[in-house]
Amino acid sequence: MSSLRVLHIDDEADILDIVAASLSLDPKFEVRGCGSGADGLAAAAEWRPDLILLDVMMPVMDGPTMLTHLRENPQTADIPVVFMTARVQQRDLAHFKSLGAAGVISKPFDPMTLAAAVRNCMQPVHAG
Amino acid sequence: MLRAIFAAWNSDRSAMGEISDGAAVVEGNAGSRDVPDDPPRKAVSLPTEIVQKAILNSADFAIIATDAKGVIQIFNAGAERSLGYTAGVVINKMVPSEFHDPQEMIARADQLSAEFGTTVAPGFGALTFKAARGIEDQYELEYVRNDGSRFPADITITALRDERHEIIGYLEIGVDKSAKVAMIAADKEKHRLKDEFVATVSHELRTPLTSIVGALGLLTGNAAGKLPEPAMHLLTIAYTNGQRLVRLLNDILDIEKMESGKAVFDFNRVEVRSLVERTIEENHALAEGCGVRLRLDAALVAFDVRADSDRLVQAITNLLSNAIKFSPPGEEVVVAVETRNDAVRISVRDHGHGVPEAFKPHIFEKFAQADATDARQKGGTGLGLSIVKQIVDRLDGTVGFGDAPGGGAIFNIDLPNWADAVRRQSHLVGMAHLRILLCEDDPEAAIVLVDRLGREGFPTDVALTANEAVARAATTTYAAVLVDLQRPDGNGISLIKQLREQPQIYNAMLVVLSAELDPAPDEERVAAILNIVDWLDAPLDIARLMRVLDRQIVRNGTTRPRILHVESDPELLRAVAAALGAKVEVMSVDSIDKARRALAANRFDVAVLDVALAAGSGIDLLHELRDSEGDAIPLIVFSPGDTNPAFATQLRSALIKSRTSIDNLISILQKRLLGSSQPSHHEDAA
Repeated sequence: MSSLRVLHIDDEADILDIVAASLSLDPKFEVRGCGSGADGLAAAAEWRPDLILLDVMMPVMDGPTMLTHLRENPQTADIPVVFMTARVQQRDLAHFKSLGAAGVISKPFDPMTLAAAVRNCMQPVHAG
Repeated sequence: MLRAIFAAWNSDRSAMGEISDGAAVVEGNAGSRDVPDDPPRKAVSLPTEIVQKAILNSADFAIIATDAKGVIQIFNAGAERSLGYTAGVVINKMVPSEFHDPQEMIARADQLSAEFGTTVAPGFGALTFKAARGIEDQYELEYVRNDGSRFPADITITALRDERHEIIGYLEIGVDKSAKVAMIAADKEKHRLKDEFVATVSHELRTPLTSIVGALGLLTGNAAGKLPEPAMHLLTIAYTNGQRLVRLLNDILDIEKMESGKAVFDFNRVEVRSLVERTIEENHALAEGCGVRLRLDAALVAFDVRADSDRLVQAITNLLSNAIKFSPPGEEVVVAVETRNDAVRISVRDHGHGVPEAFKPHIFEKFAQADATDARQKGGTGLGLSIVKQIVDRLDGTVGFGDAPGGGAIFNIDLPNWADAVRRQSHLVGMAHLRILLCEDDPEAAIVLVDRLGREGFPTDVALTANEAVARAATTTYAAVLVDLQRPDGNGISLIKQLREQPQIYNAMLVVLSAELDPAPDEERVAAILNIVDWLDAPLDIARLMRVLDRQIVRNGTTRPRILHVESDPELLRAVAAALGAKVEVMSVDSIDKARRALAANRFDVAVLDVALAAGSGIDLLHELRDSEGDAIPLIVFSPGDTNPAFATQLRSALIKSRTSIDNLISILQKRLLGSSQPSHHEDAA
């Protein structure tokens, strides 16, 4: 069975580490981290992950802007994107969904169940 | 007697100005003789009448008295100073309503009409409506000075009655509150800065907390290998406290949002039983961890309330987690749902120690904990119950508590049942209830508008589909409905018709937008604006037209509104004119050219337009139905037969000819809904 490849973009290096450690508890996950939207765009086009975990508030290029760019590129347009954010209001949730996000995971997250939460956001075809 | 005072006042005005300089002490009938120990005072005896005049003249606020018809009889120096008119100009000539903003008078008339279920015309009658019925009446209105400038004032109106209790006139006292308003604005700014600070701090705190709690969670979850017991014990302490800090941050943010009125509540019809079941399910793990059983003791009937389901779940969760934490292991927490005096009651009963007597008055206060050490050990934030109170207040309900029979505490939330809540809401129609429904299929366009409308103080709900729009309009009262005509799921015209069938939004202003991305990237999205009162199909239902016009007339508040009726069928023109009768002035025209001439020469309150005029399409006229300020005249559209999508396209292209900006839309909404073109002080927290 093939692995589930997750690209994680966050400007906080510590959070990149924690997410990588949390997801690696599920042996099927393969995780790569990027510290900026620009790096994330390049990695997404080159690596073609199964899912992108995307921080919302980042300097230079924020999450929603990066999502727009992902959608513009045919190579990355179909990759499901899950936002990670400290803003968890219902209204924001609706807002992110309307931008085309496959899900929203709030920060702080529970590291022991993060992998399950990410799987929940995946298309049924990837969930196996 | 009033007439006598009026006469004295009017004949003797010039003499009164000087009195205010003199120090006048009045010695009444029961003077110092009754108090023999008082040292003798130097007293100047003045006739009561002169003192009354001095009071009138010296008072630093406007005192305006009228006769029963509203014609001004007394206009004091305070009124002269603040309003910029001299008494000579207004006495026997003007009516106080002329000093007020006409739009505000309309809004007031609307509000009274809705409150009393009758038609109140704007003007002096609207000012004195309550006073004439012996109801205390104090409110805020803007005064318009002689030079056109304005100031906000607190106004009190009292009916003046003779000895037979007949009304012989009215007294209006207006106190300038510009200083107060400026203070409120400064206060608001202070609050805004505080809110911003709290939001920033909580975000900044959350970022490192995410790493800390994440790392500790991995360690205590043995993700980095098995740790020795003493290390695990210490890490667990760090981890649970980190989690508590997160909860505390969340609660502080929640409280701050609700107190500042920024929390958006998404009201829907909610079935209570299944919602409570869901909440119990979500709290099972917590209960199990404490060795407490959760049981639902609910009636089998479904109860519906009007609520934001997520917020209601949050409130019940807070009650549940308190009950769980304060229950001894092995005990049971019972959640019940029942009706009580037409309200729906959700109660949570525990078997703990109950609420200590001394703590009862403070239980809903922030950071209130009966036994601080005890509560902290249980991981509470001290904000749970105060959040419950905030939420339930916003849901129009009440929260209470008591001692449970047999020990323990029982907390309950009472919410108005669905039907009552809807009824209560519909009473608010016409008042400063400023929620807007945006029917826009393009989420991006919707987000731009919602953000902007929100910043202007209009909470806005979005309906992406026609079905959603109708469902929302059926359950929520909106002050205005904005409809984008271009829709992938059917045509916008049928949506307008469906929406106008909903009694909840009878009084809402319905604005048609045609949102188009402007080719120039830096320009804002544009929208042509039509204010559609109703859309009627052939054969014309004259009764419905009358109802719609009546509502529009009440809204507009003009005493004898002028209606432009553009229709090529002479019989229909006659029938409508006859049915409308004398209370309105109808100008009937049977061609576009005549309509244009009529529009150029007159001001109309409402237009009725047959869009399929024989001599040229009535659509061409749509964007010309504007008043001298360029605002869309409220329009009732009459179209023969089925409206097809091609027609909608035609209509849209007609609208695009008259593009306007978002700013223009906002200013129209402000003018129509708030009765002013300035940011409103009516903004409610909804």
